[in-house]
Amino acid sequence: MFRNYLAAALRNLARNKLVSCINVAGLALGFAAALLIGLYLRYELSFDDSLPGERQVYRISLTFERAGKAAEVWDTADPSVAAFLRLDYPEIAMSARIGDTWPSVRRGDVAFPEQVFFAEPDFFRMLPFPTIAGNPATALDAPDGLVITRTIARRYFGDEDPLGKSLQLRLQQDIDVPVRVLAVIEDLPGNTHFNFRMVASTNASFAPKQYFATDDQTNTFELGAHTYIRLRDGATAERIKADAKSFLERHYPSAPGITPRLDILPISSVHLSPSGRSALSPTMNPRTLWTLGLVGLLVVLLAAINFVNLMTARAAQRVIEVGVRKSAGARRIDLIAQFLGEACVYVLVAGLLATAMVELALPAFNVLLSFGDELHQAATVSFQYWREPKLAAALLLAGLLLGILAGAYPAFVMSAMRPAAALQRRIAASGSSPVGRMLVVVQLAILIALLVATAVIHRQTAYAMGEGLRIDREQVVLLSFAEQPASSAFMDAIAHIPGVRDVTAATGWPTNSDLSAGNFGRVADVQPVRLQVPTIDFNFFEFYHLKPLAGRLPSRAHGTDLFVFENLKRPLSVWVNESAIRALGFSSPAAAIGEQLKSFYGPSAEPPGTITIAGVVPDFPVDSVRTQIEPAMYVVAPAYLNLVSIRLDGKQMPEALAAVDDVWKRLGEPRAISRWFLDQYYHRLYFDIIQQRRVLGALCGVAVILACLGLFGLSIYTAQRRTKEIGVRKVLGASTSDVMRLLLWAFSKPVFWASAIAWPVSAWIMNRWLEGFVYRVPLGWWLLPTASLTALIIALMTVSAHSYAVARQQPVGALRYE
Amino acid sequence: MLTLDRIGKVYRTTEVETQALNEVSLQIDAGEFVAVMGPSGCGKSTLLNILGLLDTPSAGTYEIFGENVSAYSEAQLTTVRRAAIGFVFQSFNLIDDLTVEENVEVALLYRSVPAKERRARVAEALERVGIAHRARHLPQQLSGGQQQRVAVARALVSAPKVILADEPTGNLDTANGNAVMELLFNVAKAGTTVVMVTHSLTYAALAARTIKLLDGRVVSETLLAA
Repeated sequence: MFRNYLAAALRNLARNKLVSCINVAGLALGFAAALLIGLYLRYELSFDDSLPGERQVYRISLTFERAGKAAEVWDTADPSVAAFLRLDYPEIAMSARIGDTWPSVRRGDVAFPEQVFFAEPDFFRMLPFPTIAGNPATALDAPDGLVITRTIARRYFGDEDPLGKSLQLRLQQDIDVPVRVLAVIEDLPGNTHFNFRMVASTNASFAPKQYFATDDQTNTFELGAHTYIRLRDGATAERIKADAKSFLERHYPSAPGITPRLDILPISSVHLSPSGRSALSPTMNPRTLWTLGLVGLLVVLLAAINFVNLMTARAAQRVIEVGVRKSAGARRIDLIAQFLGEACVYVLVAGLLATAMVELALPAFNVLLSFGDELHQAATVSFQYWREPKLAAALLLAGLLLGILAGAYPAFVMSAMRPAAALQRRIAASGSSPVGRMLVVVQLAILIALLVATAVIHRQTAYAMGEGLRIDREQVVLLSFAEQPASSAFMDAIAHIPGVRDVTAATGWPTNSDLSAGNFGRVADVQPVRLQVPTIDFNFFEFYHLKPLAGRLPSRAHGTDLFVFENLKRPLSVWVNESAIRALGFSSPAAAIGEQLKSFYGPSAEPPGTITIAGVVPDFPVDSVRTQIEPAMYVVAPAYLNLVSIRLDGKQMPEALAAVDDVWKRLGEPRAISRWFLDQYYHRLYFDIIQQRRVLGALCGVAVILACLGLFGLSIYTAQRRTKEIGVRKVLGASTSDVMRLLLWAFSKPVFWASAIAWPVSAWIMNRWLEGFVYRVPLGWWLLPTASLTALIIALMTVSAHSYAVARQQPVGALRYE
Repeated sequence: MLTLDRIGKVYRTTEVETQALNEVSLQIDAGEFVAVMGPSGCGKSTLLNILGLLDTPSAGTYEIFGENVSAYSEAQLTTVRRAAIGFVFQSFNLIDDLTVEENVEVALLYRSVPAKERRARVAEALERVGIAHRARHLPQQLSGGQQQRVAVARALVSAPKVILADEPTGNLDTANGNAVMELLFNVAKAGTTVVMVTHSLTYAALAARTIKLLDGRVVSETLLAA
């Protein structure tokens, strides 16, 4: 019996090669897309869960809550927190802090600016990373010990054994310190929030003390150290979490208006928690993951709908077989088993094809997901089903289940036919049945919704990276001085390089959140307003094309524009942003011009001289479009600026950059230059939505292809089903265009119904998504009809070629068919 | 053996109601060769479908082999049909994707016949109708007469008690039609009950009894002179 079924199925498949290929290819494509998304979800959910003992390791960090403002979340903690925790909680077995610096690293003639971390010796005892050589657990006990990754070993040592050999670190001007490679570990996988490649010991005399020294006298938090604790086996963190508030009250004096909160997070949860300041690597919003998972399911649903429709349409061609088998005594269950079995065969073939497609696509997929720079590990999504029998079994089971679900409808429909009706071909083919029509509508609704979602995400990403910044970020290179401000000679030399359009400086990046702040207010105010205080160069606003909303921009012609640290009593002109205007209670930017501010200085500080608002500038995102722009007061102080912004004109970029490097060698710091494009910063800041845009865009492309495949296959069956009708219409005088209109209208109607479903659903979902951004684009109601129109054009273009061929046929051919 | 008592069949759509059969009563005994004649649309095929349990009557009772099957479910009808009835259709109704021997085998697949015995019986049936040399061919590779022989073989292979033939020669030329009729005649002579719908008086004359239908009713029954 099985052989008989198989012979019928395979020969039917061979007889309808085109539609069979469409069916299998569509299903395979849908499977492959869903499989890639599933593997990606698994990857994102697997961060930091593969190290031995990771369940006992927690990250400690601080969050500062202020009434009426968004909380200030940090991924780091004060250096003293670790010691106090060990004192108060015996369930903590060990702790380790880690912080980064940016020295120049050299071996012989090979030198690179590198991110070098300093970690306490317990770090690698707490987290045993896979080792190639040496012993990381003891390497940092030595003050000059260094742990490096495989990539770093190759970079500086080639094929030599690096163990015991030295590298030179230049952390300060003209001072090189040797470090010895005492362990080599594997390159970190993509699924970890750590991103180190070189780790030195905090026992070194040259370790940056600000991250690791504790200071009992301080009443401010130093937030440079990433702090981790490991609990004893069997212990839990519940007591620590419950006592966290009291812990902070015991050890740290309170500050008015600020409530610190101790965050204790298992390291496997770090990647999916909201990203704080000083994050080691970009995090992932769980909502994004579930969204992508949902979209992956929708893609599978699209593929399954195609499959169901085409299987049902094909089954309609086998109605005689159904009638014959029933008249020969087949029970309904026999026919159900036959058609379900065929569906499962299709699904398994599609599954094998999908497996091959995924293996071929994975390298490109990992590139799509990766940052694309050497500071961040590339994504390492893998699909090693031969090593994971559970995964292989789960996929097989999922495939069979899908085969049964997708094959169920045509199986049940066909097996339910009365033998007499089947033998007389008195059946409705797929596409004309209510279920078939509904499936086409659902398919088109999913396509329209995906088009809307992709367009909205694209618009918001473009806004966040462009107009939302409110600054001109085109061709801007940043370079930083570590130990000294940029000299005026350096700035002049840069400005004279051909290819450099403009140069300016500041104490932080133009969107840096790590700024100093102070409490200020209007002269008559008693309550302070916290203002960020970025220090900038005279031409900072002009460089970034920011125009004043009121007043003027800084100018050397005004003596009060320049801040002089040695003379704090000197009158000072400042510039404030729109948020500061609102926070200080001014009715408008113009109302603030000429107004004086006072500083709410501490009891031990001298009151400064008068501070007068000379201009008001637009808000521009200090952090990202996700967070509220903080009120800010800009102070001009060229002598104290260490972050240089260089705008290139875009022509002869390599020559211009080489000239910049040359100026650095002459007038910069002795270490290797550290420069990067401003775009890279935003790339990191919005990496999750950039990634979302890429993946969703790819999924949308897959959905379009699936929709086209399905519609094309249906158009073939529709034309076959209506052959007699077309022949009769042509005999009665219908032209080719009349017939084409008839066929194309059949595929246009579902788009209108699909729009009625997709518009409210996609609008609601995307509005919710946009609410995650403080600064955002409007939904753009015009997107909805545009998406529907796009779906309509896709549908018509897909079916028109075949419809034209059918419409042109001679009527006698159609009638002879009958 | 087959007893129809005031059988009626109505086909209903949303707008039209067609009375295909109206108060048809007749009895067919075991081993009889019966021809059913009448103009197009008189209900001949409908009568055959009801006799063969391919369709259910709207009114009346139908007893087959002493069982009243009028109210049987589809599953029960399948069981009875499987055990006792073979079919030959005007348009052959062979499965295009199966070879000749696979088509004939279909009649045995649902009767729990072991594979070895199935093969033997299929070979014998093909031999009987003279088409064994085409066993591995697909239907589209055969002529109409050859296809109908395959259909007859399929009807015979399960050794049914009743063969229902709906215009078995309707799509055949005279020579092929004669050949198929000869097969059916020999089957009837061997003791199988044969009920055949035909337009041909010549072929009807081969039957022991001819029933004429008009507008869904039996209008006459003629016995062949002995």
